[in-house]
Amino acid sequence: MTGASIFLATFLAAGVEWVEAFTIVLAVALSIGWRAAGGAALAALALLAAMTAALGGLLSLWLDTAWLEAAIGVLLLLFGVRWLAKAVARHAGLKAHHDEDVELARAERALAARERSAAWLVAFQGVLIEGLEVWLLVVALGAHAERTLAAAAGALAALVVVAAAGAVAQAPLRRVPENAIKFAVGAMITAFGSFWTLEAMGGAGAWPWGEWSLVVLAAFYLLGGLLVAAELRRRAAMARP
Amino acid sequence: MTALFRLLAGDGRTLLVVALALALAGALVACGRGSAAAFLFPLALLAGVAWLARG
Repeated sequence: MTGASIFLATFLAAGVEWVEAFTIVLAVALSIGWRAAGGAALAALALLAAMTAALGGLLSLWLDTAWLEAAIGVLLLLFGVRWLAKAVARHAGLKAHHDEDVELARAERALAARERSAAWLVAFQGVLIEGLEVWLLVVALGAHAERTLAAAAGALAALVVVAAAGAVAQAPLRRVPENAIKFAVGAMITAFGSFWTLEAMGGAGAWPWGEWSLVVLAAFYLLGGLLVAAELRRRAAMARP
Repeated sequence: MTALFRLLAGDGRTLLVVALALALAGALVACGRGSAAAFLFPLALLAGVAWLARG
């Protein structure tokens, strides 16, 4: 079960990040062509792959299981809570939704006055920055459960899907339900983080239903987040004159 | 490096939420109330999410 849930979590999380990275690459491609923009994206992806292999190896060498579990659990909690809170705020209408068309227009404006090498660097940095979260999630989720392959496969599968959809559309992938995905990913990552941190503190019997507690936790955060969003939306509506 | 740190640690409010939830869970586990921690820890995190979402 853990392997499949790790694959799903990294697939969804990476998918959202790759969609945002694709918008930047698309803007650069419209400026300096697909060949150069694609080369920059590939260079960034190669760097991310090398970083994943290096950090994954270091983590498994240096830390024993309890410390690894605690450190990765806290890292995932920081990620998951942030993602979930942003998704709740967007669902409640307190925060603007991410708009790929707006991002594309912004990137095109920023690129208008730049030279070819600077535009190449924009694509490289864009993919690298969006990929950093994917890198950390793949390492964090994969290293602890010794499921690096499942985590990396999830991120790669998402890359293939987004790249294929982008190649067909040749436009920002605006139909991807980003906030719904971020909601689910935030709930899943927070579930993994809380499961591993409490297990590191209280031992293997810390959770009443063993590994199935992960499913219960993810459902709890998802449904709880939806209830919180509904309540925040209701309060905001009441506060309006 | 600053960007990487911010990516890892998040903002101060997220750090506070996670630190308080962990302190609660740690205290419950230390007093031998691990089963209570399994219920209160996720509740504390969700309450933190609600506080963060309010902005």
